[in-house]
Amino acid sequence: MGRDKMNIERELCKLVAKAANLPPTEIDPKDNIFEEGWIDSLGLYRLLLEAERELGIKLPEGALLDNRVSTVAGLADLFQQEKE
Amino acid sequence: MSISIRFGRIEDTEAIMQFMDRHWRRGHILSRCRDLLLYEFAERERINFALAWRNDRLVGLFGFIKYNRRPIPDLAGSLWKVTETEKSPLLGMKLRQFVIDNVPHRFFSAPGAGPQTKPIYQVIGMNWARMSHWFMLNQEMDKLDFRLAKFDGDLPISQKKESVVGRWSVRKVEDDKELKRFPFEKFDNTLPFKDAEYVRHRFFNYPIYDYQVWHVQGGHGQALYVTRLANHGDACALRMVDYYGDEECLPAVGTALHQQMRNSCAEYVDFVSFGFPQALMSEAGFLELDLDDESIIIPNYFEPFERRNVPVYCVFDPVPNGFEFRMCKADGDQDRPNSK
Repeated sequence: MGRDKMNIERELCKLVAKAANLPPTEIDPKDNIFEEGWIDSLGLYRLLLEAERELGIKLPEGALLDNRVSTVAGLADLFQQEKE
Repeated sequence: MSISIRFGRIEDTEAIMQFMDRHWRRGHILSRCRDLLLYEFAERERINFALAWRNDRLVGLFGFIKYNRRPIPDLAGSLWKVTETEKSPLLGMKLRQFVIDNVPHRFFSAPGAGPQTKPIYQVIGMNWARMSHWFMLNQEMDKLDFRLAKFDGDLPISQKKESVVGRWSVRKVEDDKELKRFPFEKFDNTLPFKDAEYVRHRFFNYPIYDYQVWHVQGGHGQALYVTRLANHGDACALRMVDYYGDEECLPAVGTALHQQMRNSCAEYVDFVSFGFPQALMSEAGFLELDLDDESIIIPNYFEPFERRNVPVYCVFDPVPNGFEFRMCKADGDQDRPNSK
């Protein structure tokens, strides 16, 4: 994994942890953020707004329908892809 | 079993009503009055909802309303709800996207958006805004006589200097056939674009509220505006719920509204809207309610009546250059009864 994506993933873990009220170390990037109960759909939108601000990357509207939004690793993929 | 999404059919009406009653608002008129639901949403064999099904169970819906009969109309979003227990993430977004992808349209907007939807619309790049609540008071009434509106201090007085008379004519449109003479096409750059059929269906034939449609004309401008009386006990307010046409007519409309307010002994005239120029609204005699201040209360909810200020939000696509976005209280699925 490239450094950029690692940084993005780390930032997203922090944001998910904040939303779930957990320490960031508890967030496994491969886990499903909905099934783990860390976040719901509305929480995801809030998280994405915050992530877009923190990372300075805007996701396209279609990204929300991408299955990868269900995990931190997938979200990091989407942000990385948009950055490139 | 996976989720399937498809358009609603007339035979889905009962399922939609049950869904709304269980998961949206219990006892709401749309979940009890099949005729009204069909009046608002039916289009030939279709009922204008995207429906999400898990097996044979309805688990989410997204409604939409067309503002005109063009092949590519402007569209309003409406009821949008997914069951609390539904675990399919982002199903609500998928329902909305189904409509966006499968209903050809020029512009999408929705009045009456819940405050909780702000992040959703921001993420997808749409505008999200608080609508203005304009009002003018019946200055023939004493402060103590107001039973709907409420003021801590003196009666707020509008800055309207004089009545606009003379070259303007304002008359009630008694028959929807007269709409043929109104130049709707002239206002193609107004978003959403409304046509005669929309006005006829929305205001002339509406099965519950009694709307009055008015035509104002003068100089090179003309416009339609729509009012209805809202009652609570033996007090009433005159509500302007739509305005469509040249905005230079607004000052003349203000004068006419003043007269109509006095004639109907209404406490106030109000207009919940977005996009209308402040200068013209002031010239018409309207004041803008400060929704963050409770020293002046202009009620917006009448069914049931609530003596408080109520902010109303709207969402809309980015507005292309050369177009103007105007949102009115009765747009989309708003200004409808809640109970029967």
